[in-house]
Amino acid sequence: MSDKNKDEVYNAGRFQKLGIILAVLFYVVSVVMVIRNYGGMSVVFSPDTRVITIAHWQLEDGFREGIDAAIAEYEKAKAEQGVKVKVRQVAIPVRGYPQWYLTQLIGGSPADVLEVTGSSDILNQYFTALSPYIGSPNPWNKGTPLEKMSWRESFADDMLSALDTAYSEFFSVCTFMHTTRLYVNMKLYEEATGTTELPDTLTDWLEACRKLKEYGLAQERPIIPIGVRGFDKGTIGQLFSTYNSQLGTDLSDTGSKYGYGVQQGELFRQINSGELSEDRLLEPVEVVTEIGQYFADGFPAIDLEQTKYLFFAGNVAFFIDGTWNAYSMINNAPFPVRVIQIPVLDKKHRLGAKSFGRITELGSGIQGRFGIPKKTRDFELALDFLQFLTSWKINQLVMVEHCKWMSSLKEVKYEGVMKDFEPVTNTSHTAISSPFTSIGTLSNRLALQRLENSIIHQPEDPKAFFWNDFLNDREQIIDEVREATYGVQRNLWSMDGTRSALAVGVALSESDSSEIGLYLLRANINLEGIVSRYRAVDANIQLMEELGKLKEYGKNGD
Amino acid sequence: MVKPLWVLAVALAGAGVVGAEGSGTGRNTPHEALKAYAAMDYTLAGKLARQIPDTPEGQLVAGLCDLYDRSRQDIGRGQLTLAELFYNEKMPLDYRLEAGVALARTAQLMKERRELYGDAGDRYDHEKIFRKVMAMAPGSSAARNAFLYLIRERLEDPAQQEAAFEELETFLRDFSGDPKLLPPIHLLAEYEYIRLKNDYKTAARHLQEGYEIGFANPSENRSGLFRLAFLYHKKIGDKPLAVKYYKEYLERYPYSGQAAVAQRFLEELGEGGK
Repeated sequence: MSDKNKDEVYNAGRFQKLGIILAVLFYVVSVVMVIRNYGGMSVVFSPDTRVITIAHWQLEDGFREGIDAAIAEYEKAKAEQGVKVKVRQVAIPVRGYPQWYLTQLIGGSPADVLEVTGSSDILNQYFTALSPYIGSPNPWNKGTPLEKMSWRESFADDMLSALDTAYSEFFSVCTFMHTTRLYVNMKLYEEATGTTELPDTLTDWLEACRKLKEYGLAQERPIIPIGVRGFDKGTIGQLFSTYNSQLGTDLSDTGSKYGYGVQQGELFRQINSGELSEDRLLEPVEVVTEIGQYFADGFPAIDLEQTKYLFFAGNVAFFIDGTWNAYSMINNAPFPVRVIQIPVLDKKHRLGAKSFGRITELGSGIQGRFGIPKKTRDFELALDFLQFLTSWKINQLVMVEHCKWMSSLKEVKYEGVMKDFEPVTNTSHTAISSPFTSIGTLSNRLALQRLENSIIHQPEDPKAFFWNDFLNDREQIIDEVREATYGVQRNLWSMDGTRSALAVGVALSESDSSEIGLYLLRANINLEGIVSRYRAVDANIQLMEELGKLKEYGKNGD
Repeated sequence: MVKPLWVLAVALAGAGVVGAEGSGTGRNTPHEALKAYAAMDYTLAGKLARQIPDTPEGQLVAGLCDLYDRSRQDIGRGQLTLAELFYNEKMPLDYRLEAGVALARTAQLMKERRELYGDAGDRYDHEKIFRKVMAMAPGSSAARNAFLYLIRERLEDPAQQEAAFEELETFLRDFSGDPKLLPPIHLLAEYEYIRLKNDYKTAARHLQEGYEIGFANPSENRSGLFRLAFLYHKKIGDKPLAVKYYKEYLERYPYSGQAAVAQRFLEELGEGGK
């Protein structure tokens, strides 16, 4: 063998060795990962340990730590009951969550407690119906203020946010609650305004913004008084909704012939007949256009992450966002941050005389739905853990102590900074929807685009500008309502499928069983839902008719 | 040392046992098919129904899956299967009732969307089928369902409206079944009396009756109670009843967004305290 060939053999041998080492290494890593994923060595060497997994997309600060703390408490509590339990937590980024979630469900080996997303059909197909369990007390609430309430009643909204109306069923329960608040960079605010007193009214807020703008110019700093999520128009929508309710809540008394609240078709009927001025619906446009002067120049291109970056860089004074970011906003900012409510439209403002003040936030913003897939490995344990997670003490441990989020439960008291997150309750007025933003997705997008244009162009009369542009989009909006009506009609077919399944369930059950009671209850929910669909179809028909009759700004009701 | 062929034999035998279990041997397939359908597991229900095509359960589940399983929908075939079942008096009554309601309802929905289904729904006289269901089992949930679908359609027709309102009252008065089946009908009655007649008094009476029996949807129960108080307050002007129901609302739903409104309205009515 030549020297050259010897070298080749030698080198090949070295590579073979390396390959074997890598293969062994890979095998060892795989074994470790499998053991880890299965719950660790304690589970492998203890076959009587019951293992479940909880999965979610909440990567905000504190959430995973909170769930870990709950898991530790749960494993301890179950050990005291003589049950060996291991709970694993899996957190998936929200962007990939829907794909991961569906793959898990379709694959047939999903996590046992899953944060729920997707359509009613997905929930019905893959998740366990919880209605048999929600009528009894949550056993983990013993010795707490919620002890005597059923699991359903222990939630601040009586679990209404979790009801799937298409299938008349509860496939999940909610775990937390959020409100929208204003985060203030106190260092910048104080430097620019010379005070630490924060604005409670719109007049004071606008004045503070004016000072901030002047301060930025004087200091030659790119100061943005109000940081917004411009790219998805989230903040514009939030501000519009806030001031629309403050200015128009009284329309709830007269805005529907069927009861309290507003129906968009009825509001337009009143405008067409001259009973209501279109100005009543357009005044919030004027308010938002005025506030918009203090957004960044290029605000339509700025998204949430960029706004957060600008806020942390010290260039944004006020940042509007949900309380889900509160923990990171307060803890990660290199300056003191205070949290306040969106300022109220006050009497000093030219439109303030018509304002009803703050709107109640009670019972709204309840989210974080978790359910149990049908393919869970251990339904009994998964249900027990879900009840543990939504029990009074543990839900507060996870949400309040770790995440600085509000609990979805009743009888929870908040302290310190969290008092600022609490829903507004000291008011007797409720939110109303605007006909411009609540007709459908397209109409909402067009309305927000219109508002954005109004902010950019600052027209002399924002109301006329907005109204006439709205009429330009009328045909598209009517098409959307028509399509929504077809959607309701399609939904009626699906609802009849549910009715049919429930009827077969009734026929299958023993006449005095609890099962039959549940089937009948769900059958009634289904039929009540059908009545609400009839209402929706009629409302859409009226809306299309009245939209067609609207005239140019100032010419309605002749 | 274990012989590989022996291992293979054991594995194949095991697979055979598993396969036999999966093929339905030793289990009650008709019951399983109905159970799968009730759980809306159409894939399993359809598969099981195909294994028992000559049984009433097989026909019922196959027909219903043809209508409602959107991944394998065959409306014409499903309606035909259900029609055969419905008109066959030897079939179990419960199955015939469900076949009738599903057949009539889908035919009715098809007629409401002619732009999509053309005249395919006209093959079956849904009104006649609904009426037959009601006559076959008065007081049943099937009769209640058939009535709700039918009466809404009659109320929509101006020529039939007055007679339909009369029929609505008669149905509710003479209903021989469990009163717990009636809240959805009261809910519809409340809505239609306002929509078509602006008759708030009768509407409120129906809402009150439905509420007192109890709506199944907790959201409907809550909003229904508020609406009841509101109708008595703002539309009928019956202060004592308005106060009664606002107070009841505050007691039952103190955490709801409308609790503050109820309190405000009570103050408006001169009843400041809870």
